[in-house]
Amino acid sequence: MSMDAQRLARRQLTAGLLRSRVFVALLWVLCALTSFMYFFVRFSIDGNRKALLTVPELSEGQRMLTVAMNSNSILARNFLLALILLTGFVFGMFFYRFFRRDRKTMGCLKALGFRDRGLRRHFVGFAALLSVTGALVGLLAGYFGSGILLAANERSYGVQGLVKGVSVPSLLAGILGPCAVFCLVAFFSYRLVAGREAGRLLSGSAARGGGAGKAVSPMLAIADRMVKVLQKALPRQEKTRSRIKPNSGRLPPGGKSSRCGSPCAGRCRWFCCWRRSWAFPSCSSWPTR
Amino acid sequence: MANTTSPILTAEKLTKEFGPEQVLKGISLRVEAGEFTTILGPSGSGKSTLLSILSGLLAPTAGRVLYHGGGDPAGREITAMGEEELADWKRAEAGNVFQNYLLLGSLTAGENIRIGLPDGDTGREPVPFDQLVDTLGIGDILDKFPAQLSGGQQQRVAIARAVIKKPGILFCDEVTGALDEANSKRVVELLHAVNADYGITVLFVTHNLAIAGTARRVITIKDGLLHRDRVNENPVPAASMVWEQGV
Repeated sequence: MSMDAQRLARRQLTAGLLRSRVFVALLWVLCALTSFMYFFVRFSIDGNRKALLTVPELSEGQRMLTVAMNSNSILARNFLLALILLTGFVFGMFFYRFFRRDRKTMGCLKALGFRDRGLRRHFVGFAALLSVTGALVGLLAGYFGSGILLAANERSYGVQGLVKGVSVPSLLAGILGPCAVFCLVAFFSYRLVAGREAGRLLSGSAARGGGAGKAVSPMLAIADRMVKVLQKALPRQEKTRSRIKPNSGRLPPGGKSSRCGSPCAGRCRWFCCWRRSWAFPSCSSWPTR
Repeated sequence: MANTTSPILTAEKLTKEFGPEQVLKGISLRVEAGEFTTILGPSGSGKSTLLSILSGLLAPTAGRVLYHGGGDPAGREITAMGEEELADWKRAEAGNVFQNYLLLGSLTAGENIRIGLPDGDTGREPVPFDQLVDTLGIGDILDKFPAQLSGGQQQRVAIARAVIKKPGILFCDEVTGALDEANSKRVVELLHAVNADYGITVLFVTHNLAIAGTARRVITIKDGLLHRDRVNENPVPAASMVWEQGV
């Protein structure tokens, strides 16, 4: 594969991934939040725990702080695990949605002779980039945010001179841990198209053992439902503000509304119909095509 | 057109099943190198499925496909290739043009053509970009995106993308299916020009008798079986074909 072709394929795939800007932004925020929640607590623990270990005899406040730091440490780890799971799930939904929507693009690239390995690398790289940049921002925010926790600790336990610090293992766990999980999610999500025949992807029957609309497994069926819920929740990029658009209804021209039974000429949904009946007592007073 | 009788592609007893439905029922055929061959048949006869199998886009349920091009007269079995070997074969030897163009929407027409460029090690010189653009008459649209192009223009870009690497064989699946008469004629003419100028074997699936009349060889498929395989001694020049739809 020539370098130019690889670069162009990467550009096409990146453009496809960034088409869901809101989704990508949500993922990035979740990545940042994952490491922020971890480092926010961790910065208040690691440096002070190390300092307290050198103290020959601990005061009452210092002993209580040590106990609190131990429980906070467990809390930080649990936060990290929970948010990694949540973000990993959202990553999975994101890629699932992408591979369903862009299966023809994937099929086209495969028909052009692009290998699964090269294509997969792009998605893993995308997940790595999002998670590492998000984690670095979370690290920075955690550093500054941990001041609040340190101040609270100083007040609660009457201990002065607490410092911010983080150990190398914590740093690796907070940055590389999520990154590794999200990359694995991207890697395994690619299985939706990996080894699939280009002809099947192009014809739309991309899903393993079924048509394009069928889910691959019960887990993905759940993911599919979640994506639909998320799609409804996220703001839609619509250019028109009006909710009643000519010919935007799902009814075929000449079809009848489920609510009022009047001919809708393909232009009214149930919602529009409801608005019509609210504005005008008789549906038939509305113009038809 | 190259005057040769050596096969470039051989299919042996191909069957394809989609669930309980058997689409191909044991088709064997040979495609001669350098020829313009059409596969003719009504809708649902299995001709597109056959083309997808011959081009490595689908795997057959049974049977095999041998490719004899690329300096390998004994043939390489496409149907036995692994994913990476098949990808390399598609990259180097096969060109595909589809009915719905399948251009990449985020790339300009020029970039869509360049993405078809092969590695430097295919052992075959690619078609010069400028020459190809001139042949297909798309010099003025290279900076436009697919959404800004008409169907005919998109199909010409798709042909350029498939041809630029000078493939051993060009697979065309109902490429005029979404075009009007004038554009369809132009596309067929261009494919004949590609066949004649660059010596690329063209395998053209259609249900249009007029297009089939322009080909040197016409293979007819009916109900998943090879119905007829005939050599057209007097192919109609693409420029003067009389348009008629349907088999």
